[in-house]
Amino acid sequence: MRDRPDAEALIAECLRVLQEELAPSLQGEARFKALMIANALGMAGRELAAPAEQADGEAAARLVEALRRGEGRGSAETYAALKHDVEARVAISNPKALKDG
Amino acid sequence: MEDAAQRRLSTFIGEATGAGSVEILELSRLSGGAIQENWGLTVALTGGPWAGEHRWVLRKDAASGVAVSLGRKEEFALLRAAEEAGVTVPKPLFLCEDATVLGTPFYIMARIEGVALGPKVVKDLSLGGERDALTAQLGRELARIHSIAPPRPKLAFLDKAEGHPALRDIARYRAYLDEMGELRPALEWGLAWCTDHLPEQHGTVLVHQDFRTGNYMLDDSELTGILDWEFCAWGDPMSDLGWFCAQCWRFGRPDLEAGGIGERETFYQGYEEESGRSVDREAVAFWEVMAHLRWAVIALQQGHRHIAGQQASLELALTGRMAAQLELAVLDMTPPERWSAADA
Repeated sequence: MRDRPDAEALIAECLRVLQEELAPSLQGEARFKALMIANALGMAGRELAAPAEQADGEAAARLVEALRRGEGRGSAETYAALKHDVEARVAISNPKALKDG
Repeated sequence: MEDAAQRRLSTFIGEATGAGSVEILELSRLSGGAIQENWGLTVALTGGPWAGEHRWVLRKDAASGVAVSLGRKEEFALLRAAEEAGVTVPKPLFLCEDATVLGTPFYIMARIEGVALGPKVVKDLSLGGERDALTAQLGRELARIHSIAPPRPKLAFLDKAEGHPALRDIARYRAYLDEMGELRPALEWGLAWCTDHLPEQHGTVLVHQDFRTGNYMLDDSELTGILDWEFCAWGDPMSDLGWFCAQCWRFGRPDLEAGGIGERETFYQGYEEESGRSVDREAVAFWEVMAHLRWAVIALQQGHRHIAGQQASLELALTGRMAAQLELAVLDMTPPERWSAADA
């Protein structure tokens, strides 16, 4: 059990202060950097909140090798699995890109 | 820049221009990264054909530059060739290969004014004049770049593919992914699709390889110059059209398929009129898939510069995290139904 506010809540509050209180008074390079920080904090917060990935590096390596050998060309099953994985990562890195698509 | 270096620079300018005296009125760092530096340079010259005041840009290799792109000498030769071909570029003026002057080779070009930043160019319609005309003009500019074809002794340094240029690129992207230790099955899916769907080739010409919104400059009324020539190579002309039109370079205006500034057909029309070459729509669509693959690999490389501690940078770190959305774009362009029947 961790103390509260927890990491997610702290990041959310940092983001709020940055966006509502700091960024509006900044200009030029400083504003650009503040927006980059907001982007990074938002991403970190979403990553913490996302269910833990069961990363299987060996399976990914096998798939890479198979695709390079030309196996599974256009396989609907492979495609669906890739799409599922990529969408989960885009939901963290840039959820707007999912909505636009 | 230290005084001794400025004195050596004055001497060089005096010799290059035939001026009796050279006064440096301004020399200030403009921008640049780990590979090159840009300096704003204003001089007052007395005597000789260049007498008077001039506003220039001095572009030099950074002292610690890593040779991942072309050097300044090569870039100068490319600007010369582009200028001769009628491309709107900052006029290249003087090349100094003597590294004892400023520590690394450099060249001086005319200073052009305006805005290049992609999001600003797309949003601010007061820039660059009427947008349809600008879109068609960019098509014509690209056609002029593509009018430069091998053999060109002065451009002998340019890379040229044996066989299909896309196969060279695909092999490179795989090697870069392996070097980084990146397992990216979605990119491999896209690379496999490209391997299976190579388009017809349309000759070998000078390809700019970074001709897109963000790399040309606009002032209040017009295009003032095409920038960033360091990725040029000999290649297929359709690859540059694909790079320009790729969805990842539309800066929030996915509906404007020509670089977020205009209609795709307007851009094609300008290109076709100037080049006399028809745009192969299918080939361009292929090269748009390649564009996303290329940008994804470059984004990962930039992220790795941060991860590896070569260059701590929030911008590089965030660029690395753009790879996922590019992977998604690649998948969206290559669903199972877009694989040819023979391969399905």
